[in-house]
Amino acid sequence: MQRTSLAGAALACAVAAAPAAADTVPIALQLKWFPQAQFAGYFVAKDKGFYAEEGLDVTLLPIGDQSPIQTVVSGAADFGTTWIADLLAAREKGLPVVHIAQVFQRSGFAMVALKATGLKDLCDLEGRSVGVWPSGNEYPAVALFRKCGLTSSLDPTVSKPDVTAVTYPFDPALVFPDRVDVVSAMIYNEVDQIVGLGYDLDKLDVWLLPDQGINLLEDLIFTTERVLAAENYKGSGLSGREIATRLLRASLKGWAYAVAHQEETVENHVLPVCGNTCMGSGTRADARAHQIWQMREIAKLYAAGATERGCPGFLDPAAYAASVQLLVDQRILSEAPDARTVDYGPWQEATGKTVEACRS
Amino acid sequence: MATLSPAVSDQRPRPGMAKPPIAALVLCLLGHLALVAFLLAWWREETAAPFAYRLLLGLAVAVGGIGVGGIARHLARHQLDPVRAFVPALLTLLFGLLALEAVLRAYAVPPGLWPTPSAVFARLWTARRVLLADAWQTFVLEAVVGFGIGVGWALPTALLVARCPFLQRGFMPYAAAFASIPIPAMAPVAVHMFGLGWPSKAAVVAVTVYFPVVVNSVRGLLEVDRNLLDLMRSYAADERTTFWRVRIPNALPFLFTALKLGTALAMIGAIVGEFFGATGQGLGFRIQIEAGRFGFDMVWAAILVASLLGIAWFGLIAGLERRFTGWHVSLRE
Amino acid sequence: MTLADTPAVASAPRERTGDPALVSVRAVSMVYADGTVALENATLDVGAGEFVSLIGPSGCGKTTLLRLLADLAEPTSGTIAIAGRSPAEARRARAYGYVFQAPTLMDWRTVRGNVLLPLEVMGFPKAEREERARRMLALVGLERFADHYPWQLSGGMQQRVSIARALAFDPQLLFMDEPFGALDEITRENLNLELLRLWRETGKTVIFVTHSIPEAVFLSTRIVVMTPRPGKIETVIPVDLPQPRSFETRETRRFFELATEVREALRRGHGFEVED
Repeated sequence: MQRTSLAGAALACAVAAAPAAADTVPIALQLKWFPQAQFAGYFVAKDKGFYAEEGLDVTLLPIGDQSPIQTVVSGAADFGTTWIADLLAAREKGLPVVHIAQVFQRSGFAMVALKATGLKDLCDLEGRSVGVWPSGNEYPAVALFRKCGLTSSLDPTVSKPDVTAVTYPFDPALVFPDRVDVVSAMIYNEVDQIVGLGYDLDKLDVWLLPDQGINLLEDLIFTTERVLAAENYKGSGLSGREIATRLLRASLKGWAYAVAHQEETVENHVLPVCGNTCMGSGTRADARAHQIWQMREIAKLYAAGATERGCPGFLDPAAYAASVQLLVDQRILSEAPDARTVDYGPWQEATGKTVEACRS
Repeated sequence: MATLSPAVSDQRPRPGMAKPPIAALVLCLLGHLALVAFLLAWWREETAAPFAYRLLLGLAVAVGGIGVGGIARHLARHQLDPVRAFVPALLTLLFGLLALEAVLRAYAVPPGLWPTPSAVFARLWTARRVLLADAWQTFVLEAVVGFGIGVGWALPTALLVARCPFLQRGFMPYAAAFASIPIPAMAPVAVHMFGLGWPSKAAVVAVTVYFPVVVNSVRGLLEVDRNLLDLMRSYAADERTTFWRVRIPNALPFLFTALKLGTALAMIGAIVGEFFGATGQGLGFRIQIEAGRFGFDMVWAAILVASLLGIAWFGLIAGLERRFTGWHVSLRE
Repeated sequence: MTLADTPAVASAPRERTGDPALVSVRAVSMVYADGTVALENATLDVGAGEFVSLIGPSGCGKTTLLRLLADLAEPTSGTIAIAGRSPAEARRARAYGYVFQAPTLMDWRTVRGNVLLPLEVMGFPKAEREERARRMLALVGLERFADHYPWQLSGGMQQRVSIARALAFDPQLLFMDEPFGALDEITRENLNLELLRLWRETGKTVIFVTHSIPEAVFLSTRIVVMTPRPGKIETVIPVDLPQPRSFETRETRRFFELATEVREALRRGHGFEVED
């Protein structure tokens, strides 16, 4: 099956202009980072043939220190996963990206400091240095600084900022705890790496940003207006909306399976593909343990909010409005994005559910 | 004997009093006027211009381009003083910016893909304090300090190598190899060793600059006309005298070539170094963080600042080169 | 053929000074590391005030001999004495000036700066340096170009600077290695005349390497004819053309006879490829 679809894909490429008679449509989905349990649902959907059942031949693209939006807007990928702030900022800069499904219902963004640093309140950051990741991953930190009434060196118009934001290439060991007082950490990845550096959780202060009122939605699926408007996408005979619908249906099926069978998923579908990134950025010796732990944390982010109400992948309008409001309040966005930013159509088609039925 | 004429003579043709290229001037003016008219009409619009407008715009770009080309060709044919020789470059720049601004607006290209020149200049102004602080970090602390350290180590090394045949065989092959590999690739290592602040970038810059300066200086010290060495020997000059009067002057042009190359390498090293981690300041940091946010107006503003600083620095070294090695074959007028 | 029996070693004519030989070369050989015999068993005396040319085709050892005299190379065997001293001692005593085939000027020094170079190296007082440089440039007719750079001058003018530089510290001897070889014929003849004038006015002893027969005949008091493979001295031909010589000297019958004599000596030694 896989083999014939590859041949079909090759044929479709070779005679690009001809209407597709091939079984499957080649589609590229841009992940937000290198392969790890954070993307378990997609690996499962691909390995277990959920995508193939929908007539899609999906390639999952890894990415490093860049925004997935760049590859999707440029056409190098058809769909992508990213965070809401990144998506909305790009939308405001005129890039025609569209939100089609919200996979994680909760933010996993945390700030970590040594207890010895003596930071009583997370807003108590004036004169401190904070480690952040660049490429659109710094917005939650920016929102935090602004909410606390602090300026930072991430602001292009402030020359003497209150907080020094230190960018570093994702491995917290590079900066923490020697170079920065506080470091950004995903609750499902870097926190474990910091523990792996020899700082047990009882020596650390860990602040989850959602607990600080910064609940910016994270992993979501997006595409472009161009893809959704296509009548006959890439000559497949299917519309762009139909392809988006099929992709969501298979992906959500994959996620449901992954969350329900975590150990098996990590063993069979994550560890075989995650290669060098299995151990995070290299501080934990045991790749398997790290990924199983990550899968468990990821499952918590997935199985919250709308998912608990039986609507996985649903972007709760209230949660969306809260994210938008926060971004506007903290002047990361100058105004609320236009209505075309979110398209519920493919998700409704894929799940057979309605916005009304799922809204909180 | 005295009847022999001097070999120096001014062979340049005198600027001719040719008639100005009327047609080119008119086309150039028409093109610019049309572009300005379009920009005035469409300045506040945020959507793509209608087809007729875009057609006219294309015509204006073509006409203006032909005009600018004609003027440049005319000026190139006639040797001019240095000030007027800049006219074609300036005219091309102005026309290019206007045309780019108009086309980007006519097609409503999202600023997240390609900001208009006016947006870049506006950003350059509003972010001037931040960019100045970034430039201080990247240019002064990282590039110039790193360059100084690199050159400061390279010169004694070169003197030592030039006097020690063992080092010429044992050290120079490695120096030559290191001079041709992309040192900024070791930026992540430097970050581990020296932290995320400016010293790690200055270290990358220093290493980047060190090897080409050593290699070139050693070449300059060693590749001396054999006859000049024989001449000094015939004067029974000691080693030191020969070194200072023959080898050092001979090495200067080689050194300046390396220094000029070094300015570019230093800017690259400092900016790329910041891509691997930075303490919230620097042009490379700014480019990276803003590119990730699609703030390309800021990205281009930072690139513009880096370019201007790089060009000015190169110009300074080139000026020193002219001052100290004006006799060299590459600089003779 | 008239000189077929002339011994290869001829003592210097003494009519000018009567001094014993200023330069004495005894059975000197030079073999390079690769086995090439550059010079074999050369013996020669040059008296003070002479103008001796070494002529021969490439590879005849004429430049090698000059470099041995100047202590720019060391002989494999044999002895050389310059005013009773070894070449190394003579060099350290700054006994000679050396003019290379290429002008060998420093690009970074002006014409004056180049003439000043040996004076600076040898530690002449500043005022004297300036005075000597001025006089030397006047001697070669280049006062007006003192502040030019070498590359702003023609090849002939550059070579005159080089000669002025060699004379600046007033050495007894002048070693010249094909100094006019790269110049055109007209410039060369002018400079030949100029060189003879300098020789007469300064009373230097000149040893001059060339591969031009007319040049050798015109300039020299004696011509040492050398032949290649291995490089050796074939014969020495005294030149009895009257002094002072002029352009007209080249058109005299005696000039042609001497030129023929040199040419035949070269031919005997298979030195055919000599310039005429």
